[in-house]
Amino acid sequence: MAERVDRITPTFWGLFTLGGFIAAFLLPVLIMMNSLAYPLRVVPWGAVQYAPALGWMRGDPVVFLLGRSAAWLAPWLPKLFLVLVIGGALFHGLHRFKYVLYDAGLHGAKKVLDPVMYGIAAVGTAAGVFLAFSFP
Amino acid sequence: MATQTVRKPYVRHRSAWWWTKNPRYLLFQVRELTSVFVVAYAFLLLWQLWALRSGPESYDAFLQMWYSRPMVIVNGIILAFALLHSVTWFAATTKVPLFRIHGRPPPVALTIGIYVAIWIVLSLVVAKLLYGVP
Amino acid sequence: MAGAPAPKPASATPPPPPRSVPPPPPKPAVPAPKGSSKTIKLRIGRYRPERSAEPFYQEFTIPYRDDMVVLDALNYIKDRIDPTLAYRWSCRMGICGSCGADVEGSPKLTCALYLKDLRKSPVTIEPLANFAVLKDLIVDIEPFMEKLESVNPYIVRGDEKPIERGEYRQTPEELELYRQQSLCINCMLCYAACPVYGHDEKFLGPAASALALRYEMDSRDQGSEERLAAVATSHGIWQCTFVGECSVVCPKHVDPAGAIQQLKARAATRLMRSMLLPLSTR
Ligand code: SF4
Ligand code: FES
Repeated sequence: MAERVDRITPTFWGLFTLGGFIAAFLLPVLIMMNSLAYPLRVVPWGAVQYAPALGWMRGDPVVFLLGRSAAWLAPWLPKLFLVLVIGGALFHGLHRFKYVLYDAGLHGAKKVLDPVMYGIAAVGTAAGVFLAFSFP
Repeated sequence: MATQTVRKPYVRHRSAWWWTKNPRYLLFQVRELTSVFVVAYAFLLLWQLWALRSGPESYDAFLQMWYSRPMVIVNGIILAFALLHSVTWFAATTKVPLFRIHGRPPPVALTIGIYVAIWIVLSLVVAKLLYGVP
Repeated sequence: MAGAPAPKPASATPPPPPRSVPPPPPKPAVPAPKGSSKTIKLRIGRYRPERSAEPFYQEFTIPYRDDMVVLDALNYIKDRIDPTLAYRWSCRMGICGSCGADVEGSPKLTCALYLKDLRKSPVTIEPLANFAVLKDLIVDIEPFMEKLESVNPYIVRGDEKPIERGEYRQTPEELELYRQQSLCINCMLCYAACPVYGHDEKFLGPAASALALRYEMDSRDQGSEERLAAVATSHGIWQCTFVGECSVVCPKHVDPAGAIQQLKARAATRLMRSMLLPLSTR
């Protein structure tokens, strides 16, 4: 076959796969804790307010569990966790959704869909990095 | 080829409703649509981060919305699809064997078992480490 | 193979009046096979390009016994009711791969499907989905053959050793690595089940990908680089969305869906390695 070898797709397929694992392993527990724990009364109202949320971002819940020698890790863990989940979910989901659109008849639009989908994923991930690591 | 052909191939086209033909096709479509919910939650997280970063008032407003009944329902739906993603993902990724036993891939049930074990442990660790629950 | 498309309407067939559509109704009162009392109604997709531009369905009611398969029914119709019915078969034991057809919408080997297991009446039998139809149940297999050829389906050696040095030996474990993919009988059922192929006729598809993996996994092969390049084109393995139905319908448990995912993983790791170590691999 004289056709050119596709080098872009395997790269994004790798991210899709990585993101697929991240989303599979981490998304349910995150949604459970972050969205439904309070409505299901697993945690009290006081635990989901601004102050504890900010404390969460600074790693307050981790710091007690980490021990003194690893305490410096505490503020990084929640942020890293969030960036992993956001980036993984975006690169996974938008890659897959691109194929949904292909299948729905946009097959000819590969040249447009690729940059749009992966562009959204990249911008979203960058926004996540910025928001997470620039906390007051 | 130079030989003359009297063939008149009749080309059929895939119906737009192909995925209703059997339950496996349907499950495939639903599985692919989990991507919408996975992406949606990523954007909700960005929104939440933004609100949290902008200070107490904006986060209070966010929480008003976040814990309103419609939003809780939306989040419940997202969780359902996220769980479906996890389960279908573990099943799908068994197709690429991570290791082999005498040249043979390990039994599918074993791989899925390993994934589910990791999943449960990770979930508990995250819930404990990051949320102090249980 | 029975009923290869005749270059012109065969004059040896009993003379059906030259009409375009619709088909003649099924003729009743056919002598039954010995020991049969039950009958089954079949609705067969027909296409006779020399008579009409559109395919149509024709119903046949035939007597059958429990030990008859769908292919036996087709043979019965061809022998006793309508000799113009065209379909392919050869081995009638599930190994030649030529008798595939869509039965009730799912691709099957007609020689391996018992009539007694069919619940519906009538039972619809159509040419394999997604392929161009040449005549009745006969589809055009040429695009499929080209796909098989496109993946370098043979052992490629960079360094051929002299014959005196003997054969290339393999351990049972090394054989096991590709045994599953080597069982393919080229029946094309997987292509008929593949909605991606139904959408994009250029898609490399399940069996050809499984064939590529069969040589990829062969310890004697050294042609991996070119073969992965051949399957990773814009109509290659990356078009696969892992619907997985190909592996469900495959009569030989080749698991072509799994094969494609393995090829993707191999192609992606190969690319990653060549990006990380640009000098060593290229
Ligand atoms: S992979 Fe299976 S279904 Fe496909 S052609 Fe080979 S034997 Fe038939
Ligand atoms: S006739 Fe050979 S496989 Fe069915």
